[in-house]
Formats: sequence, structure tokens, C-alpha cells
Amino acid sequence: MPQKEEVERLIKTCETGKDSVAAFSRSIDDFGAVVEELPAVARPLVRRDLQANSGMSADEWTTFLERLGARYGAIYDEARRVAEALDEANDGKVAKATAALKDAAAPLVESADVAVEQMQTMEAYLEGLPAKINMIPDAFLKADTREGLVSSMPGYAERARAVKELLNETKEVLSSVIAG
Amino acid sequence: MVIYMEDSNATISEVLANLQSIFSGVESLGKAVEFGDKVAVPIYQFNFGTGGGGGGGGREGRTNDAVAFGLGGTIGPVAVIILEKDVPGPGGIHIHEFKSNKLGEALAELMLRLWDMVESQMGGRTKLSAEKKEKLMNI
Repeated sequence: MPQKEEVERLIKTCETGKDSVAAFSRSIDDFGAVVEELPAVARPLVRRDLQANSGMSADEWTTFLERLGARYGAIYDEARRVAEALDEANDGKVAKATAALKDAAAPLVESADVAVEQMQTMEAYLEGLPAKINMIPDAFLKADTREGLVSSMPGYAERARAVKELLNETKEVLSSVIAG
Repeated sequence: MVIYMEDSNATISEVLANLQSIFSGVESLGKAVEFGDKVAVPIYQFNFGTGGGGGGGGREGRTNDAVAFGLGGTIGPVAVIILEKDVPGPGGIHIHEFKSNKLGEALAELMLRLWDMVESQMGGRTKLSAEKKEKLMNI
């Protein structure tokens, strides 16, 4: 039977997880909006660079983050039910709720390592992106456009790191809740 | 987004040779011209057109029919790329455009192809297997 403290920790992790994923998702959207405003010469290059260096296009990142946010939501709901069942001290209900939690968490447990690896890749890419943008010849990207692009990025890498760390934490908490 | 250009004649020659081989169709690179410490590469735009016609005449027993077909085209420079041999990195690339209307699209296409070429030589891509991507999309 899961420990109440562990379940509460899982609920908190999922709350933070939903917020962090949403924040990073907004960063991707903002970046996409800035890229859309770039000159025709630079636009496809920036899109290609993201895909080549992060392994996924902006649309694929959006899809992944939407699903991850939804997964955190599903785990959160089931964890709340486990917590309620524990409060009622109803063993049968706890077992049923824990099984439902396990089902809801299964896709994340299965893909957590790949997701962490992917967020690590994205974090490294975003950290180096302003320097890369500053190396683009003026012929392709005018100074004011360059500044606009670079200034749209503060916090992107940190948000990617936050999602990565939460994925690690979620994996750890989930394993103890489900195993307990 | 970085364009890596090594500061060496050999690399510039290789890049130009590859660019020549990948370009065909509407926009194309011209022959590189070296002058001092610079290499100039013109970009041309090709416009082709065809036309045909026929007619008949004469009198009974002595008809006189004719068919004609024509092919015409124009070639005009739209821009020139200047590579500076002694300036390493992207700072050594300059583009001077003659027309602005078609250049954006032509350069975007050019740079995407150049990008693929440079990445394949430098191994700059982050590969994500189909299996891993599927996991992420179904998380």
C-alpha cells in the first residue's frame, strides 16, 4: 500500500510538472512566433537548425509537450484518488485507485528516460542558440532582427532544465508510490 | 544556425564544387571567379519559354503546309556571393543582390542545400530514432 506522504509528494510533483511543461510549451510557441517574423532567407534555416539539433521540429515539440502536460494531468487526478482512498482507510479502494494510477503513469514510466534525454538535448541546444544566432552573417539576418530573436530567448534553457528535472523526480516518486 | 566556412582554399573549392553539382533549374550558381583574397560566385536566374505554330495554304494538288517550333530563354544574374579567403567563419561571406524580388527564395533554397552539405560533412545533426520519437509522441 502506498504511503500517504509519497502520494502527496507525487501530487505536488505533478502540479509543478503541469506548470513547468506549460511554461516551456509557451516558450516554444513564442519562439515559433518570432521565427515566423524572420526574413524569408533566415526562416527555413532556423526551423531546420532546431530540427537538426534537437531531433524534433517545433510542431513535434509542441505535440510532445501537450501530451506530457496531459499525462501529468492524468497522473495528478489518479494520485488524488489514491490520497482520498488512503484518507478513508479503505484498502479495496486504495488498491483499485493505485492500479488506476499505475495505468495512467505507465506511458510516462516507459518513456521517461527518453524524455529526459530529449530535454537534456534541448537544454544544451537552447543554451548555445544566442551565440549561434550572433554568428549568422549580416547578409542573412539584419542587426535589429538578430537582437529581437536573441532577446526573445531568456529563460528558455532554464525552462527546459526544469522539465527535465521534474521528469527525473516524477519517475523516482512514481516508482516508490507504485511499488509501495 | 551557423554556416561554418574554413579558412582554406581547398575547402572553398570543395564547397563551390559541391554547390555547382547540387544546383540546377531556375536558379543556379555561376563559375567562381577569384580575385586576390576573394572569390566571387554569381547566382543566375534562368527563364525558359517555348512556342510553336503551323499553317497551311496553296491550291488543290499543290498544298503548302508548315510547322514551326521555337525555344527561347534569358539568363540574368540576381546576386553575387563574395567569400573572403582570409576571414574565417561566417564573417567572410557577403551577398550582393542585383534584384530583390527573387533573391530571398533563391537564397533560402541555396542555404538549405548548403546547410545539408555542411552538416553531412561535420556530423552536426542530432539523430532521434523513430522508436524514441514514437515514445515521446505517445507519452
